[in-house]
Amino acid sequence: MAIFNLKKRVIECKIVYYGPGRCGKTTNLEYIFKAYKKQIKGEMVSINTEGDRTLFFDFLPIGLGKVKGCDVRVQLYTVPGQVQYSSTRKLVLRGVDGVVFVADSLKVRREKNMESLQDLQKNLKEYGSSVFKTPLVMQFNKRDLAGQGIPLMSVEQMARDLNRQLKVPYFETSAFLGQGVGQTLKECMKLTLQSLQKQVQWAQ
Amino acid sequence: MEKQAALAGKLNFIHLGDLLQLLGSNGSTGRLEVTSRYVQNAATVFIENGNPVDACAGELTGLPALFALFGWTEAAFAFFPEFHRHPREIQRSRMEIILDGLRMLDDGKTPKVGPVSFLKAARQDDDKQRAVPLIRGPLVDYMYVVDEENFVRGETIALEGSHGNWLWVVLEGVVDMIKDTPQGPVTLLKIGDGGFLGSLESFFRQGKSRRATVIAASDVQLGVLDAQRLSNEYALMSVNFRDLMLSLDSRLKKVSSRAAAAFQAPDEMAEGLRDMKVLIPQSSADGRVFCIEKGEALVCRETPTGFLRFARLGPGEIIGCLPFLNAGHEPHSAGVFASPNIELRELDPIGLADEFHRLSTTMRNILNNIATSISVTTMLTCDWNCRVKQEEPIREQP
Repeated sequence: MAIFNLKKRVIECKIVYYGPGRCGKTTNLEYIFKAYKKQIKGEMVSINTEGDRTLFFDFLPIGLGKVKGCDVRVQLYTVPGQVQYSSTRKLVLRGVDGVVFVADSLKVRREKNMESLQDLQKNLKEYGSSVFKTPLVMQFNKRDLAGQGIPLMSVEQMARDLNRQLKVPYFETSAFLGQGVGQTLKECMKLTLQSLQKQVQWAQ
Repeated sequence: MEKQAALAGKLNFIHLGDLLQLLGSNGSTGRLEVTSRYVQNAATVFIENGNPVDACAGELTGLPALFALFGWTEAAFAFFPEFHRHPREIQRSRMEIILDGLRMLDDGKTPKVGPVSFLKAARQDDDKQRAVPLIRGPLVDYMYVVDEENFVRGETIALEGSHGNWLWVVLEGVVDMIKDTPQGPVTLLKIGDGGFLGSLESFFRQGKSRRATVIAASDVQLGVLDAQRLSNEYALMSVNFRDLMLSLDSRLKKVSSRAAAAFQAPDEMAEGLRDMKVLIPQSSADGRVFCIEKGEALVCRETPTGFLRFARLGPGEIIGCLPFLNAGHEPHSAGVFASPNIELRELDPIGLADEFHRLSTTMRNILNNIATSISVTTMLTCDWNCRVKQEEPIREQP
């Protein structure tokens, strides 16, 4: 659940990039940080965790409107996948408002994607949320590698593997080239804000 | 405290990371005091407009002090909103400190301050690095220490099976609790500052044998506890409470033997539970406490691989919900099965809790130490059991 900062009249919500190791979560955030410089407040925090990096920065969405007259500020995070980082994961995933699941299109990564999605489901449940209730957008990343002759899964197959039950919006992306990154984030923010609006209405 | 705190609570309820975020989004300015009963002096974090600017904890100052505080999971905090012009020793952003602090905690770089922490065991085989839990206690009450004894690293303090009735408290250093198994000795626990050594049974009944070997893992100073004083206190307790104490002690003994057995081979569950009925289901909200008059009870935990038994209890032993002692057993984390001929006597849980809170600090610490040891040893049993089970199929493959 988002934090209503009464002092600043801002709603702070959390969007987390989740996915198997080396799938491009960090690349996604680095691209956003570079491409949307104007909408970013403060520095990007980058913590080196074993085998992965944890990133964090604040993002001010433009043109998405207000909730109850309050501005919305989005905190973007990646979360380290390794089991040992439970304290970090707990801090990041507790009260998460939206998730971007980044799946790796490489054929050899098929199982890793599915494991990671299971893992997300388990973790969200542990922190009192559900993968079906949390606004979720999927991203099939590394599509650009098809041009280099690297075997990729077809989009249909990935949707079948990962999205059959969830039925959430998905995008073909190349975080490395920046293709589809903005679209994914925009869609996730849209869903997150809709869900926030709904929560606010229920609260009345 | 000279001034009323604006916000106070426990760090095991709201973690330091969450607390710093809360103070941060509120843009608060003031002083955050953190106190832990496992550390002599309080720690302070200075916060200006929601950002930590300086900290001190023991001999550490600045950022290292703030990082060290992430390990203080069993501590209380109080925030005093007041303005100090404090030199800005910490330059990093709030979120960076929180994320990095948590990472260091998860990486094991920041030691945990509390009754249990984990030391990575020396690398035996490459990836089978096993964490040996370290149990500590709160600050020692010197009124109960009659003598001090020093042991050098590697020296044997007590030998499993030998007779002895000293009860010690660790004043400084770490000792290993080792149990013999056919596969060789296995270190079950490490006991650090404030932890207790010796069985209550050996103390109140003369000439009992030691249940584990104790070896100094570092240079150690032990305090010999005042036997006279403790037995006087024991004599004044109600019969039920005395039963409870001995029952806890005996449960620890049984749980340790189970752990040593689990280290060698996974548990064969099917036999033990036949003809037994459920007495207290696992994770039930049953708040009753019983003393076994006749028959047998079995404390088990349901795991994905089946039931895992921890202790077989007989007449005179206590089962049920004891909220003032966290032993990690029934009713929340284990269930109790009973033999058909079981006869129970119900005890008054409120009376027991009252009596517990009236005990001297040392006696209370001893009981807490036993409960923590039971809970940690139980956890090890589960780990070992799972590990042995997981390893088995791999061995069979060509």
